[in-house]
Amino acid sequence: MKNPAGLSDEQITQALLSGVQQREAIFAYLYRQSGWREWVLRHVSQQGGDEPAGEDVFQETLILFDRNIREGRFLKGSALQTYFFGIAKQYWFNRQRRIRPLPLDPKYDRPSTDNPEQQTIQTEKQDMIQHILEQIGEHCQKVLSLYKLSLSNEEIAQELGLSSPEMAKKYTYRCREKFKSFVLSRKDICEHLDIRLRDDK
Amino acid sequence: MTNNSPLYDQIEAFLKDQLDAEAREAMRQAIAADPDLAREVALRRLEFEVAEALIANQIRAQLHTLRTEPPPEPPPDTTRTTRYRYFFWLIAALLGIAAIGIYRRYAQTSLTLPAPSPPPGPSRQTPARDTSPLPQARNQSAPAQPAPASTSNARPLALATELYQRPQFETLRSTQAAPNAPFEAALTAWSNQEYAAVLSALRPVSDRDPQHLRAATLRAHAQFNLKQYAQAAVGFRAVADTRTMPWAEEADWYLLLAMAANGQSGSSDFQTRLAQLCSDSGHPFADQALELRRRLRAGQ
Repeated sequence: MKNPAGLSDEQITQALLSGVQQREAIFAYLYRQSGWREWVLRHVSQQGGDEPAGEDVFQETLILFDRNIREGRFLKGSALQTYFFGIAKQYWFNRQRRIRPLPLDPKYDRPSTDNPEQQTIQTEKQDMIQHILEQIGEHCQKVLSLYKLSLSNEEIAQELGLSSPEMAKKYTYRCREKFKSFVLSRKDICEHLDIRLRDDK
Repeated sequence: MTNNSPLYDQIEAFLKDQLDAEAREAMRQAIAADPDLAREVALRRLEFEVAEALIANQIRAQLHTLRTEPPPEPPPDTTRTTRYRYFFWLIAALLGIAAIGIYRRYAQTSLTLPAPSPPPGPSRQTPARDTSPLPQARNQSAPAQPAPASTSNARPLALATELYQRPQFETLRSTQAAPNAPFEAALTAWSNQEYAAVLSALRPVSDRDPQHLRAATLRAHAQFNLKQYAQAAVGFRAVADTRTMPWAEEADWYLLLAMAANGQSGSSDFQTRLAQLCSDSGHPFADQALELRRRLRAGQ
């Protein structure tokens, strides 16, 4: 299916599964030309939200949408646009409920995000992730994100300016090991994640 | 269970929910029974979350830029563009004709006048101050220095050239830059093994250029291949000492090779750097450094 601005669902999906440049190009397209952002802004406005709230909903929806596509969670039961709008509605609904509780439409109900205890755990996890990010350094951050995008060693080398795919492989391995050693060196993180250390056995 | 178990290969598929029901259940049971596997799964899950947080931050940063920068200009009117192009070429042609005329006139004049003598005393032209932290290619057109040929250095030189692996650098190419951009031209010369041309092409790249570290690395490699080992060592050292990843780590290794080839393998600087590299097991060139040290020692 084609959206009004011209790119097909297949083209959008493929771009999200590609390298950094194609991904950036498709994000710019979705922001400027797809009409999806305008739809989200209008929806949020109709529901009593302002423009910054609409921009935030579009942004967070795009992040969730991208991850779901990459992880194969979109089962092609609808058009991509419908799927995107569904996520946006859900996100805005949950956000609204945190601001002022409203009766729920059953089809949007997801209790996992509403439990205060779970929310606290989630916030703690976010803080922990932020702390880990600071510790592993900018270079390894980039390596890990490229690795998570399932790019080939050649593409990672190109992105990082490395001289060969073999170097990219080495760097990826090294950064993953760095991440692992840092986490295992922190008892508080291990306890939080319920990771049993080898020495504890 | 050990890390060699096939279940370890399935962690990623398990976390991405890509296993069939039977394999998934088997994995769940294995995780419950094996604390080591449970630990690996938890670590991998956290790595995924951290990487996703990074990707989300990148998307937020891009959207922020899109919000603040003006939308791109609409495509220009092609008929007007064609007309402007016509005028451009017309003016360029007229300027070219004028330049040829001036040149011919000047050439005739210079044939009839004696050559001016150089002004006495030192030149009043102030040399440009080099503020670059990285050495620019100087004397690039100068002939290559002969490799140090003393008997004591013959072995380190042979070892350095043997262990030197010429990088391809094809991954450094930009998909957006014009082919005649300095760095792209240098890469083309590099792939053609025209090392003097690499140095010439990189001459306009200043230290303010975003690609200056890549350029400095490429320049030092070209010097190494031209057997200008001393200059190559200076270049690699400058890159290595920036500690900017990933260039610094590659430069650590190639600096050792350039120093060895230049007869400096006995220096304390060389020994310190070699020891540091050998002791850093996470360094991507640690294995090569250990090999270099082993063979240098064997040769003593």
